[in-house]
Amino acid sequence: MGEPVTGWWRSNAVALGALVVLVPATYAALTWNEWSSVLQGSPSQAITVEPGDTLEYAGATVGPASAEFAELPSQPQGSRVVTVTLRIDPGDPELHCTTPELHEIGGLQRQWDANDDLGREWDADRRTFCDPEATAPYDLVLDYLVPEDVSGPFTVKLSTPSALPAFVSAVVEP
Amino acid sequence: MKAEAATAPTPPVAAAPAGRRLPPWAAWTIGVACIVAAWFAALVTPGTEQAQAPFEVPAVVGETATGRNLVVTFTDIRRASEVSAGGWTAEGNWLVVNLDAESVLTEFGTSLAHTELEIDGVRFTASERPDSLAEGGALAIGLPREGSLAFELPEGLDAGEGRLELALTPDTSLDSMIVLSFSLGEVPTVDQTELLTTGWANP
Amino acid sequence: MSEPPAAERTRVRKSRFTWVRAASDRVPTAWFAAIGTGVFLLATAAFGGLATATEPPPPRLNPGAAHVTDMRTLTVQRAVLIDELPGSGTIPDDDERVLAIVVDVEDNWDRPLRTGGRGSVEESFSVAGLDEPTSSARMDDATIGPTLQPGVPAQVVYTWAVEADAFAAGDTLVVTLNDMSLYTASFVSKGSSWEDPTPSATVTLVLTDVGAGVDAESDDEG
Repeated sequence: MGEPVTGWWRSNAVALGALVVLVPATYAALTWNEWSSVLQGSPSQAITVEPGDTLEYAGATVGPASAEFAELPSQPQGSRVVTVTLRIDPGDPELHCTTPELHEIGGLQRQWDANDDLGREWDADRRTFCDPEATAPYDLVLDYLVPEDVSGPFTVKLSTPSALPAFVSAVVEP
Repeated sequence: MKAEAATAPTPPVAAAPAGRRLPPWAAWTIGVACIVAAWFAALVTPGTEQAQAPFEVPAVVGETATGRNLVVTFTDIRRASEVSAGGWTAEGNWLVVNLDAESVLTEFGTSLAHTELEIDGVRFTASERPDSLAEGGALAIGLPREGSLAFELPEGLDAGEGRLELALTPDTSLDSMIVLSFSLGEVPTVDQTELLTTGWANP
Repeated sequence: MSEPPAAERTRVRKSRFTWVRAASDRVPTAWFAAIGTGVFLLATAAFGGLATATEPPPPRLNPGAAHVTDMRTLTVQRAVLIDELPGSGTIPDDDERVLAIVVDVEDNWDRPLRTGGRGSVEESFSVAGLDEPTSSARMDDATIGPTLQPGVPAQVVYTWAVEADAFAAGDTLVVTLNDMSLYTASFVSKGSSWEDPTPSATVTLVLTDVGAGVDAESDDEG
């Protein structure tokens, strides 16, 4: 490179510097713009609750959460049942929440949905879903069917539309 | 830059930089070469269909095929002129497949929503007439469910190259799709067959 | 026929046409458009005007004759009025009855075809005096809203819930059968669908009333 070439760089230094700053800034701005509304409307900010702790969430007190392994009549071979008990003390506005999912910490990070079909005896006092009409504290008891080789620890993910993007992630170790 | 090469360069310094200018033939060649390279680049760039194609996982009867969130083991494939499932029966040119299916990562929204068969360009979907895995409900992680799929084929279709596609969503873009390839003429034929009841593979 | 005046002006050498040129030089330029339009309209008036010609009425088919299109082959069999038809997917209210039209359908496409919904067999025919069918079902196993596989014929019954006194035995129903065109979506959406129903035949059915009816549908368990 000779004189004319470095001259070009120098005379365009300001423009090139602006380019280096603005291109990543544009990318960041566009990404934030597109993703912020999605992330605001979905459970994206976890509030971790350690085993035995309680938490104020959407006006209700959630926790403590515990889990244990169980055996149920209709479960197939090679599986285990994780029964999660989560105490919910509804606050002033009722708590409408989606039925919590069980998430594996680490490993493949698998997620399970609550399973009602495992042959458990019908118990009228057992709550298996978030009850928006309850005013007294109650226990959510949920069964999850997991493969035998899964041992935890897990998190139980609970969210309610009014408190998004924050959601409760209660750690349980059966 | 001005064509300084046209005038005799008087300063003895660097006659080369002052006279640097591509001769016309070189400029044209480079230009044409760029156009040809661009043409090839356009040819090679995948179109939308290719860029959004599903990731196919080939399957063989008897072996497990693993996709991202779907694991399928085909256990049997056969043709029959009469099929029954529970109390339902029907006659025709039926193709029945038995399989075990499980999911891998999540349970939410995992059912065999895409069950299509392609034979020599003609597409069929799994029949919704009998109870089958075609609307068999959610799959469980790591715990296989077994069941059957039945396809109703036109009378007289006895041969051709077939592909059975299984996926978790009707839109198969960019996710795993389990594909079983077979030759229709080589599939064993029976007079009457029964579909498996959908349930746990290992109850 | 006279040549357009613009071409005339370029033909300076032809002495035959100089008088035309002289004449057209006198006419204001803006008038040429109006004169041209007038001449065009006079010419079209000679051929019947600008209104579209009345199309010939679509051919009439008899019940039992097949209407073949690229999308499907549809044979309208019969129309029946019945108190209720369990298994058809239509549940009439207390003051309603079920009007059922039985058809034989075969999918002529190379993909499965639905019997109800957008771009389905339901859009390829219409009955004068009725909206879309309430439901469709297979005659043999009462599968509701069945999907037809290519090349596999099926007998399907389309049902409407109609007011009890709206129809009676002996009424004629005119069924218009349509051609549909295959549109392949591109750029934003995917897949192909049948759109654009265009009438291409009609079938006239005589309605029979079977009262409470003999239950011809087989009960299905789900």
